Amino acid sequence: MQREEFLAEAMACERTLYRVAKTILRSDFDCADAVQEALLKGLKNAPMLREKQYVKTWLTRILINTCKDMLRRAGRARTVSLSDACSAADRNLENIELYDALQALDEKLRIPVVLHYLEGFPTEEIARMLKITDGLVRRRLWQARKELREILKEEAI
Amino acid sequence: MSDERLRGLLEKAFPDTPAVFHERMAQIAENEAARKKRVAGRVFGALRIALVCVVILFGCTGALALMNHFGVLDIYSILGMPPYYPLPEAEDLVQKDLADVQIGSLEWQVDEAVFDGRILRILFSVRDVNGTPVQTPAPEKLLRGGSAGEIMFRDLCQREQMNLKLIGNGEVLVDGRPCFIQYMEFLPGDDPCVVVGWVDCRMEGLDDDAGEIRRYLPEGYMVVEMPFGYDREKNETDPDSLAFVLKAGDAASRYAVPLPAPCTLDSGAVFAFEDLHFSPVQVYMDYTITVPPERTGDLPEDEFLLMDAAESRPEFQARPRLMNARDEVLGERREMHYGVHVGDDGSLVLSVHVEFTPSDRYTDTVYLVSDTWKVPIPLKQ
Repeated sequence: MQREEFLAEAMACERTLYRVAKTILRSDFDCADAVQEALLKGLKNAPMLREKQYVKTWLTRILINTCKDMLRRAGRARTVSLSDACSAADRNLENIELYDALQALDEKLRIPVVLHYLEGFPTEEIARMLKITDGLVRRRLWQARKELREILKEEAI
Repeated sequence: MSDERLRGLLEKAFPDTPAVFHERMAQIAENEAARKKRVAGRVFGALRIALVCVVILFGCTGALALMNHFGVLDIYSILGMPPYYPLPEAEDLVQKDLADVQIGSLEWQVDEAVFDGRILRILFSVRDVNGTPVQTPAPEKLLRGGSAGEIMFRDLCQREQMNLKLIGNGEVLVDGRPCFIQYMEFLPGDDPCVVVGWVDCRMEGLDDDAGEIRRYLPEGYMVVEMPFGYDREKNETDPDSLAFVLKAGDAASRYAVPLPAPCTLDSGAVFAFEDLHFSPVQVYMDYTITVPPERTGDLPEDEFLLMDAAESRPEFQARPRLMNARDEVLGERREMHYGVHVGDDGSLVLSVHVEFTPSDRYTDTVYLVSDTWKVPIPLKQ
């Protein structure tokens, strides 16, 4: 695949990439650093990718690994930037509660929830991205919904 | 709460993409454009990319339109998936014209289904009975995700406000039990008012009460329901499904191979088959390789690092192939996935699921072979 083709595909996934990065990292600046690193890695290896349809999955996988590496490098320290606080203020209370509940989940549960329910990736693809079995992905989704229900004291989730 | 509603709430809950993120991506695109100008001195604009998309899109649509003339067992090789050659006797498992229902202006037909004892394969089609064609998606719509066929399928279903639980839930109900969809694809039909779909359904699902994965392998007859959900109001799902009865026969047990005893590999790891199934449609295997605690060294707690540690072991790196007693490779490996966990006793356990195309060159004993081990599978006791 040509680099410019890869980049066009990647630019079309901006929203997905942000939300995946934001699921793992708190600071928007960290998210921007992560996507930059992931895109550069992706561009470097783009000629090896033959199928255009896999760009989104492949790039998401690179991004998840990059975000995790950043967390490891930072000793899993998490900070909330001023811009995050401002963006939170723009959203209503119900939405913030769900977002906070999601962030309260273990990372192992949080990532499949965002990839599946929000971004629409099939569980099989998530399994490949996370290098775990499809059954484990589904179990984590089930566990995440259960924990979200408990956190929000919400019968309906 | 439905998956769609949860998706909607999450959409609202996540903050908008901040300027700093957008600008960083735009900067990389600008840098890349500048790099290309410097290197090649040529300008490739968005027009070229759009044209490539259009050519690919129409190329695929034309090729796939031929799909309707094939049966469910022919499908896999058509889309460039790994070669797939079922044995001739697989035709005996094919059942045709299983259901035909009309919901509003959409006619749903289950054209073919095959159950080989491990996977249920269903070929179905949706037709707009009013004769309104389904539009081929624009390239920019394709860039946002989903195959051309899936976008066309969604467009068709929106005419009747179908909720598409089939896609959202990723499950088919077999005798009322949810079973995971392993593979699902939609293709334009040869009639512009038709979209063809097929589903590969693994016969296992999540038991909601226990939170455990449960396998379900019925014999005799089974009732299959493909839930679509008919949204007559707003975002409320009414139960509705495309249901049919399928003869399962004794496929689940007929093609199952008795499990050989676990064996110890040269590395000291223990190899054990969990499932062996040689159907005329496909070969399925589940096995574990367990490295005892005294041979694992220190294992990392982090899941990714654990996977790395497992993959670096020689017995784990190997990609297995199936061979007969004459050292001939049998079939093609089609699907393989695996997971790693630490056992209660501290051992490192790799669980593998692998599938091969069937072969007509089996010997009494065949072998699962990697670069570092060779494990016998007696087919005849």
